[in-house]
Amino acid sequence: MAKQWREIYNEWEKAVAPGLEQFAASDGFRDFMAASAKVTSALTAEFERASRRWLHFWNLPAATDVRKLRQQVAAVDRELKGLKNLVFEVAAVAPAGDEPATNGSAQPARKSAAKKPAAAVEVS
Amino acid sequence: MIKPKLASGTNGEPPERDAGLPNLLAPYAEMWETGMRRWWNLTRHVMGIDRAPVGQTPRDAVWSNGKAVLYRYRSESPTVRPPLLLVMSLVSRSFILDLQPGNSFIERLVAEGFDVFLLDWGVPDEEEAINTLETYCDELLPQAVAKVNQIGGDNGVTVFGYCYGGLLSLLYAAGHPGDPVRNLVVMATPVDFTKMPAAMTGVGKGGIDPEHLMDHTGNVPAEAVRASFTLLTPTSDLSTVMDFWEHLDDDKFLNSYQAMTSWTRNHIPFPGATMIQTVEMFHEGNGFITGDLMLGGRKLDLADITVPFLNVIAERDHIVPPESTYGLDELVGSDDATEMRLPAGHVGLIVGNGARKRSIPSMIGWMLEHSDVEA
Repeated sequence: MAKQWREIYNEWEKAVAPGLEQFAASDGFRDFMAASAKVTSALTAEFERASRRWLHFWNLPAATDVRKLRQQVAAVDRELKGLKNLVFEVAAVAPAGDEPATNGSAQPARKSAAKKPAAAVEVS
Repeated sequence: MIKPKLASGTNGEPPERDAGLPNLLAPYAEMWETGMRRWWNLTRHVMGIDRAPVGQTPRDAVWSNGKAVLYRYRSESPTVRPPLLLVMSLVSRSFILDLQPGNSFIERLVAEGFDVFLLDWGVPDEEEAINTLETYCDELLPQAVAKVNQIGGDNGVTVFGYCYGGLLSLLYAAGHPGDPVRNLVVMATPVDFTKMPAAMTGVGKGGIDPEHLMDHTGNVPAEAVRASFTLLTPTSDLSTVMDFWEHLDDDKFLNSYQAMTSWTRNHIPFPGATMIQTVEMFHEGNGFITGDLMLGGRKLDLADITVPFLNVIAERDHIVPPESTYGLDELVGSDDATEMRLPAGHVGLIVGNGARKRSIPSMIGWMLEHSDVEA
């Protein structure tokens, strides 16, 4: 008795699921999803443009400004990470001492450190 | 008044019975108890009380680079060499490999004596949106392998990639044949993208433009990733709710349900640049099959993978169908290449009773054969 509803559902699912799966895998559905994603993307961009203009008119920051800032911070983060990696590379080569720089300068040869676990950051 | 009875139910113990209850009323008492337990379980599920914990095997972070973190699982005395590095997919949480005590792939590996490491990519945001396959296969993976090798005493590393993590592992191993990889295992890894379900490869090829899927961070949002999985079996979400409702009075079921749904409903955004590259190289180019694989400006060849190789295939996988992974053992250049077909689904390979009894022992067996085991 208690499981009767479940049996009904199972029967319904057995009948409906294959058709739904076939539909979701069809070219028509794929085209619909592609068009839908395109329209959503265009509408979002248009709405953002309009709201940004309105907010800027009142000298208020828009979400896109915040986003731009976040992207800039991310870019700085990446830059910083790259520099940190470079420092680790140099530090990994420098203590060896007996490896002369090929160009005669005091700079360590960077190529020799390329395969080392350069960016490895120990986590305590 | 009813609280003590409910509390005993939540511990998985049978609810207390009133010994003096007349037999006539016994069925009603049982109904009452079941009803109250369902009510309590529903309340604690909705309110998030006492949720099933996941990823419980003790571990330490031993290395990190950006959001990628390398964990080492604690073990009294690992007896198997080389250490094992698990490489997770980019779109799903890594705790699936360590779901719950007694139902954990990692827990089992540790118990078998493996020195287990896990490379978790983290959750990408604006910073990772420009990450490409080169970031993962030419920078992070080589660094993680070097670290594991160093910790493991220069004995090499067994690299084990799951799903998209397997794809990354293949690209890495093909692009770095001189690295200290001793064995390579890939599990449920897509190879022939023409055999993949439409919902998985609907992006590109004149279908959905990947740029249209990206959010303000420049990544494909987790909801879109989840939607693509849902489209494979459109009724599965409803069936899951039905299962939940049917077994609501079962504490053990609720525990497993919460653990599994916390994974299936909690995906990770896909880094935008990697998505575009994946679409071009695999959805459109079918790179593994056509041999048109480019990484960091150089051409890759799977034949450059010469270490012992295992391809684990789930025969009932609806995400990465078995036919899309067959024949990988012939594409790699290893003399010792094995294709292991197991009667399981994509997740069933590592979670559940079938995994415990069949899949996991089979995979462990192969890895032990290709490792040094201390007596």
